[in-house]
Amino acid sequence: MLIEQFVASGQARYEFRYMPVLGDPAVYAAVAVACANEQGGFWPLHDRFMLADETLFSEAGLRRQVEFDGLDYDIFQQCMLDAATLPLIQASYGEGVERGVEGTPTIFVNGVRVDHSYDAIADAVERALNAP
Amino acid sequence: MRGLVGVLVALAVLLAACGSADDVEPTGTETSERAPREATVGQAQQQQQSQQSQQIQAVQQQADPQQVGQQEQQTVDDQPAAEPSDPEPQPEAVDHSAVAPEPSIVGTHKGVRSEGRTLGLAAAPVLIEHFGDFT
Repeated sequence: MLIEQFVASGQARYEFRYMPVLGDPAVYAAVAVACANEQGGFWPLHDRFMLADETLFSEAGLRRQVEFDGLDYDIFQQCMLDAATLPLIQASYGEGVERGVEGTPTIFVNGVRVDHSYDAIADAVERALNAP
Repeated sequence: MRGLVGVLVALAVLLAACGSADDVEPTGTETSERAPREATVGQAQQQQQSQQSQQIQAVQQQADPQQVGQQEQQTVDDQPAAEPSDPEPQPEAVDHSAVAPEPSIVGTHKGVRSEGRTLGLAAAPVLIEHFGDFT
């Protein structure tokens, strides 16, 4: 809804930042999505994880999804085994901590923290657009 | 003549006995040698299967959020509060400048321009940042 209303119209851009606060499964998922990003496959895998697709937490399920998204599974798997994207996720996490993020989701609109409800974000975007 | 026949019969019985003894011993030796060799191969196969099984289980355990959750819970329960048991990334340990930049591959997602983790135009006046996780 926000994406259609503000991002598709060119009024806002939306950036996801890794903040795995819920332990090892969250880190695992973040590493997987970051590895997909290495091949330009961030958003499809992001969406599947956001749908709480439990099959992604098995090797077979993750492979099925990665291949369905048109990514090279061998490259993806090597990225996962090397944990090559972990420093990036740690850096994102560190930035979140520095900015006072204590839980997820946490939303900032032009650097100002807002409630994560649709209304609060929409109001903040409208205010930012109308600011002199 | 009877004596000759008797001697021949005795000799035949003796030869038959020797022959059967010769037959039995190598078979027994062969069997006793083959048995451990097959067992070794069998053990190696079992060991290999067991190792593969353990590796698969390790991957599955690593990937299974319920089991990971159980392990985490056990870790938290078992360790005294004074000992650090936080498995999460430690931001202090990361030098941000040393992190390799991500590839920003441009594409389209649901009709919206995408560039890596970003949706929308770079020139858009408002930036919405979402700090999130996937669980």
